[in-house]
Amino acid sequence: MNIIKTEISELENTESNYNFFTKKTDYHSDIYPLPLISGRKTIWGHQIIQDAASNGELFVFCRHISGDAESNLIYALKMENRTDSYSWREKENILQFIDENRIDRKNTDILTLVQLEGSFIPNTEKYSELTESLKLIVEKDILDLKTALKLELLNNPMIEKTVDIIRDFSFSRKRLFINYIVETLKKNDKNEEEIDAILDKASSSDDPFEYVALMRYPALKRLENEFASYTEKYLKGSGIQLKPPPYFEGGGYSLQFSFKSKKQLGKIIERLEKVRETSDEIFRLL
Amino acid sequence: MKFSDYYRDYYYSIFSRIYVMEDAVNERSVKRAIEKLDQLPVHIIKDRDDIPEKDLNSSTLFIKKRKGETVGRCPGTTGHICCNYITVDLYEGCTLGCSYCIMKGYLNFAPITVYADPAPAIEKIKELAEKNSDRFVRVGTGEVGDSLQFDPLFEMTADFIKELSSYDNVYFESKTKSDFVDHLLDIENKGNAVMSFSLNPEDTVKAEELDAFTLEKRLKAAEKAVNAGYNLAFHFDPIICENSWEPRYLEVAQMLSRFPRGKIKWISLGTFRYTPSLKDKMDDRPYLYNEFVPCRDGKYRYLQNERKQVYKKMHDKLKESTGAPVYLCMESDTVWKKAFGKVPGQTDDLKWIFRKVHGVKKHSK
Repeated sequence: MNIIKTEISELENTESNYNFFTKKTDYHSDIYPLPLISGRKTIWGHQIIQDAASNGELFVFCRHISGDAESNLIYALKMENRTDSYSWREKENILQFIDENRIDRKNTDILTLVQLEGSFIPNTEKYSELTESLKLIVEKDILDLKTALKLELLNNPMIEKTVDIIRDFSFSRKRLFINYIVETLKKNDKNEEEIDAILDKASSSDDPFEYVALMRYPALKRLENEFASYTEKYLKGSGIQLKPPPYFEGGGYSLQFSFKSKKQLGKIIERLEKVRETSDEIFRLL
Repeated sequence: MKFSDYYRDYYYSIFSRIYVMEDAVNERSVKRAIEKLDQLPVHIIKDRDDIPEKDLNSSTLFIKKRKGETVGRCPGTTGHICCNYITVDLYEGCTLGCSYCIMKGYLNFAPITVYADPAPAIEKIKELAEKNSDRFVRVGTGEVGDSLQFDPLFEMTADFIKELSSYDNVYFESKTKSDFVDHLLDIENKGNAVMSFSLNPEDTVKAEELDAFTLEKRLKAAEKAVNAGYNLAFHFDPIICENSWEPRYLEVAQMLSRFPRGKIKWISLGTFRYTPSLKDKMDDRPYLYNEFVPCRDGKYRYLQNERKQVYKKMHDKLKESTGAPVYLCMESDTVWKKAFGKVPGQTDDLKWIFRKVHGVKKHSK
């Protein structure tokens, strides 16, 4: 590996091979990491060379290496030194380079330099299959890859509508919301217009998440709503908490209340008597 | 019955090779199977890991002897009533391709595994029968695979039936989605042996049980079995509750009226349920988008309110068409009470089925 003062104009266009990193490496004219070149080809440090050229420099110091595409890629990844922090676009570029140059996809040096956790190649392949708009959504970290893949069933305007609705949701709510939308579509074999209408209604409702949950789980939501109406009707303001079993799966309800006086206890008992009289209304929900 | 071309063609369409563990080679059942599949390459191995990765698939028939416990109690599931059924692992895995198969969530080995030495299991069942002479031992081979799909090759079910035929308190059940009963019809002493069939409406069979036998073939096999002197049982599990489930399932329930009353020893019901790990392994099927909720055992089931209605309607229809004992598989006491009005311990024709057999440990699946 020789360090040679290299004339920038002698190098091939920096847009050519090996230019798959998008993160900028700072260039300072007095000190900079030395780009790697092989012949006239830049292996690593495209940005440094560009910056030097913009700065009016005619020469940069470079390390000259000679090797095949596989070893050059390993050098480039070592210089970049960003295992586990490559963006999706960068990983897509790297994988494309691997395939174009027929580099062994199982090369462990390359795999571990790119990503120690997760599956670099299978996930990057999935990412590559996304539409451009979904790629952008994943790239901007609005959705994770797995959730974005589910959105492929929707057309672009519907994806945009969905993203607008969920933008401020937590990640777990985003995932649930999209699951509800996609599953509602599959469950009822709904067409695009119907899903579009659901998104419009969700968007204009007070609680878009609840609205979509109702579309996906109408029977469960009906039970919840009937139960809520019951407690509203008979227990509102009483301080008595009546709880159904989770998901209405079970045999009984639980009650919780507290009291500070005989009078208060009397009022609670009165309300409970009303619950006893009307309890068929809630037992039929189980 | 002779091993016909029908069977031969069927098995050659499934299997491409046989691996046999060294210590199982001399078992009678193994010799029978190898003789019948004489066109397939047979590899004798010392360890399961000797099977090359390329052959770890369901085109491989893997034969071994069972190590450890041969007979176990159904592991049941937390918070749900179990019928305390006794199970024997004889054929593990199957190639019927049911989309809902719960075994996908449990079995992590793709070749069809056959435990070729039935003698220890038969001895254990005899021991249980003697120890539990005041109750019935319901035991079957259909928990981790189809009891009869590969049985014409190995003929091990016949060993169980013959050996257990003198025990009045043993009901040995062979559960299947095939019609492979012919090789068992001529057995002279059948005891209480039960031929049982998993049922679903024909359109569900076509859509979700891709390589299983048609409903009509199963019912015809049941007719042959009952005419030959066998008891019968039927299993509606899983019931897949699509919008039009009711007329389709009730029609199948009505079809069972063709069998003589008293010969159907039990009918079980269970709606489709899944573990999260099973769902990950399943194909994307429309019925997965129904409404499921997590239950106390971590499995997802239809809403309790819906399940109770399904069970009640099926129970009432089956009682009318067959008069047979009808029970629920892995359901809570609440569902039992809401669907049937009582739990099995309070139901006269189910008490004998649910009474726990002593002297057998839970299968560790």
